[in-house]
Amino acid sequence: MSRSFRQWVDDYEDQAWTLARYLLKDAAEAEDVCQEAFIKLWNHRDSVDPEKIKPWLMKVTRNGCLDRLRRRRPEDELLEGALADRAPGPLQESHQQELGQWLHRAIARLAEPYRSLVVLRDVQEHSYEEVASVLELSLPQVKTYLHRARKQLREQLAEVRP
Amino acid sequence: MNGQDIPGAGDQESAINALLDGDLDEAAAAQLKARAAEDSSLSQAIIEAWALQRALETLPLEKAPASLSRRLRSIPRQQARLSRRPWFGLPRWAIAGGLASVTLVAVAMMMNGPSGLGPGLSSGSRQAIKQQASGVPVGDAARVAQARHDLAIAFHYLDKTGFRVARRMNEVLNREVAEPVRDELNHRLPFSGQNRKEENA
Repeated sequence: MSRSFRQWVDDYEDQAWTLARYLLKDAAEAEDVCQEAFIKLWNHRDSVDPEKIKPWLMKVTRNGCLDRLRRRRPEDELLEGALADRAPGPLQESHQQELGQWLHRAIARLAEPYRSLVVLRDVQEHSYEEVASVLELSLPQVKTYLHRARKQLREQLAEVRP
Repeated sequence: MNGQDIPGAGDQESAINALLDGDLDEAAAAQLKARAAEDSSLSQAIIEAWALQRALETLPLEKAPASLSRRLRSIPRQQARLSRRPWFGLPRWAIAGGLASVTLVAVAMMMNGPSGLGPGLSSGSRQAIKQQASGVPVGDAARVAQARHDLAIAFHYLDKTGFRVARRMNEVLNREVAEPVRDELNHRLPFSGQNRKEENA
């Protein structure tokens, strides 16, 4: 079982990390959330359907991020907002193009569940069924919310476009 | 979505997304494109949506940092270690010693009480206590001495066990407090040759 767990770590650590970084932005907090999610996976490894490990893990990771966001004080949010543009994020280290940086900031400005939807579906390319499972939404809801999220991103893009 | 399902202007967004997601059949896609050829705002929206979609798909997954990978890979070992530790991490012999101490205390209390007659006491002790409890003067000094001797042995063993348990608890608590602090420091501080040496040490 330990070998299976190592395989899950290999397969999903980057996805969990990227989601946590998009939602939290703070690297230390994102690491803590990922670790907590994988500890839960270890403790529930016998009860989780092996076919659904990925959506289960992403759901736990997202819930951990949302818990932390809820516990934050407003001044922390302001501070984080000020730091978000300067701290290197998932994108900035490898893609320094203007559009990429803009996209990263635009996704960070989206409200939940739009932000998670865009990250899970459009960035990480999970299937609609997996996204629905992670977010505990129906398929039509996922599509409707995703359309709204994409529209918001397009409108933001239109505003900055010369 | 088929050709008959092409939505009106109000559902333009759904149609664009269905096109991008590949949910439109050929007839519906052709119909939407024909509409876009006549409607510049629709064609602009499709182009922007397509460009956005491609840009989102090129956003990379960020590689998890090495510190996180180390933490994740150590989870089975840490969890196994935690599950092996019963009750503050005390070993079985310490728990057994603690239970023995409790038993001895109970025996000692029974010996001091008027009606407590512990079965493990020597016959001399029992007789002396019986006489004391019944108000009969204790004449046999040897029996009293025997009872005192039994008590002294019991308390000596109690002291010894208590000391070993306390020492063990101290060790365990020190380790339990030190580990999270060390892990947190390793996590927060940049990993350098110096703290690698400390970790190895």
